[in-house]
Amino acid sequence: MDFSYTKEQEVLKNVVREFCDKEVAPRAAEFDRTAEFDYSIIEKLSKQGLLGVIMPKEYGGMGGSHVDQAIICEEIGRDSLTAMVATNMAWYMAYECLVVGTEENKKRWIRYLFDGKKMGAHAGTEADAGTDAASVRTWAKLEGDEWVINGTKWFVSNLGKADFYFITLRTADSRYGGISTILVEKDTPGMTIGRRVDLISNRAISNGELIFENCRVPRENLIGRLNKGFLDMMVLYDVIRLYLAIGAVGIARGALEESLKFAQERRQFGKPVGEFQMIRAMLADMATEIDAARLMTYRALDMEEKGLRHTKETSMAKLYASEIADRVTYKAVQIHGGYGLTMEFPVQRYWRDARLCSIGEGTSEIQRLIIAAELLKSQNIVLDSALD
Amino acid sequence: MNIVVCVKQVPQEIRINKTKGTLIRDGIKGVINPCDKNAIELAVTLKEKHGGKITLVSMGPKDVENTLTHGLAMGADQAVLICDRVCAGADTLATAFALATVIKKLDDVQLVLCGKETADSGTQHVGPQVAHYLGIPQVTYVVNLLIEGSKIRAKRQLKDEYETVEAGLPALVTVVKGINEPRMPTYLDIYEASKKDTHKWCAEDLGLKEDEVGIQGSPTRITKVFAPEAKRECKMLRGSIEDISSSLANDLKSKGLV
Repeated sequence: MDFSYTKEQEVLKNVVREFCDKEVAPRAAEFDRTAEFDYSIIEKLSKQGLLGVIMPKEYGGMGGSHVDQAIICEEIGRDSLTAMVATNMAWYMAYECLVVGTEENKKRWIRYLFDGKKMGAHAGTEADAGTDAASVRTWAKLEGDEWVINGTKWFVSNLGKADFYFITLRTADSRYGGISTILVEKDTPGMTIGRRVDLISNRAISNGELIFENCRVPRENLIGRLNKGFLDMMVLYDVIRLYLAIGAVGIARGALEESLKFAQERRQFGKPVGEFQMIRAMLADMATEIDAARLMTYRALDMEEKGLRHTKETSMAKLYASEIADRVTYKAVQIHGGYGLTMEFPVQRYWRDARLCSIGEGTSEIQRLIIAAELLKSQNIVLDSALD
Repeated sequence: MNIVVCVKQVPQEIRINKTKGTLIRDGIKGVINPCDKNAIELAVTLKEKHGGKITLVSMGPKDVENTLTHGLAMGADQAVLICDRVCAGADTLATAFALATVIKKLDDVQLVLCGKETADSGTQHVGPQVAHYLGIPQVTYVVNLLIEGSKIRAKRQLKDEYETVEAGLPALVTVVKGINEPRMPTYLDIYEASKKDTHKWCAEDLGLKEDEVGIQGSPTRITKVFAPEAKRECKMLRGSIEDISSSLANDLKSKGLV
């Protein structure tokens, strides 16, 4: 068992840190304040060859490992979870196409989707379909060689910023066996942006409503197999959730690093607050939990590299990393005392941003259901019904 | 033109143990000394223009290899690491002697580049001492460097002025941080770099005797290391702008600050 980074990974970590010190850290508070992300960071990241390194070389990627990709995500997440989420949106959809797409999909779409400039977005949630993702009511019906889409999507991240949207919708009248994914490019007639939502967490990721009224797209825009979209989504989540987990680790690490600095500088009762046992206990717990979350995430990523099934390990890592990010950032605010409540210190932003992790890409509750189902080998309320 | 760049690994952040007065190295990640990155960048731009081969030379423990890989990813061709327990505790003179011994063993080195100083000790000794052992001219604090045939033309940054000097090759140049913006290696550069050679040499490989290296070869004796204490004094000046400015001017003059 080898827990150490390779020589290349050590250098990669340093280089990504250098990139973030220059491009991400100085801008992170501004993204939050203005609720606007600077998408030029994506092009810069791409120029350094650091965008979607796990994509195969034949599709314009680096053919890198999941651990390499995780190193990049953790460093970006350390400074701004928003920046990590946003930059990942520039390769996630191409990765989705790679994992669940047909050969035709791959040939037609991957290079187009993954060019270091274009942004993607995933529209799954609806007003009445969140954790119960199979209850979507947006429909696509085939008319000749075109899909005609009707319905309304909600909580669409990257709304109005994305160049294309992957829409999870219904293509047959079967709960789990009637879900598919269809790609809609921006400015397609019939797709309009509705109400926008103002967030407290990751504010710079534009979010809101996407409305479809007789929106027509070519038949070839179906990504993956017809009516197997729900299963495909579960396969994809086994990997994608790990990148939110490592983002949670990154933001927790940021909170710890800021707290260590503060605990050594801030003096009370004639000594730095880091000399007091209760503060030290918090710092020790924070560091321990971060380490455990990182190792759990790497373990699951390593299983993916080895082609092993890791649904349980992914859910465990996602659950644990999200929840420790919440605890660690809470403690960081506590250690900062009154300063922790000011907009002048970054820990309040980490605290707000970390809150996304236990809700997005499957809540902590759904992760627990998945873990328990894997443990009990009993009927998985979600997956087994999908297999019917 | 074959170029050598001397590289030192320094702690990522400089923290001093206030009771012992020593630099804390444990648990702090090692990185390339910032000025040395500028020296590597200069070497790579010169190579792009004039061709040749760039060799990084360093001395230190095994983990310096990671630091050297970063330099190789920036565009150097090979690296030599002097890695030997007997070399530990070297002062600047013993370090320079060991580095110069390596450089003499390399083929036809025309230019040796160093950072002006290191982030962890900042003596600015090593560059000039290496030049001494190699018996070649040295130009320090360089902000601009041109190769003109068999000589260099270098702009030096002095306290209040610049000075342009010429020297014949081979020569040693130390560079200041402002000379350029070091490039950030790409993902592919990093993986290409790990395929390049890093030679690890011990003192014996270099024919260095024990009393020439490490603590034994170091004439410097450190009697005390301490963190300078920063003192702040605040004085409020009141009155009209004329009163304040003349009183400020007098204060600064009386303290010998202007």
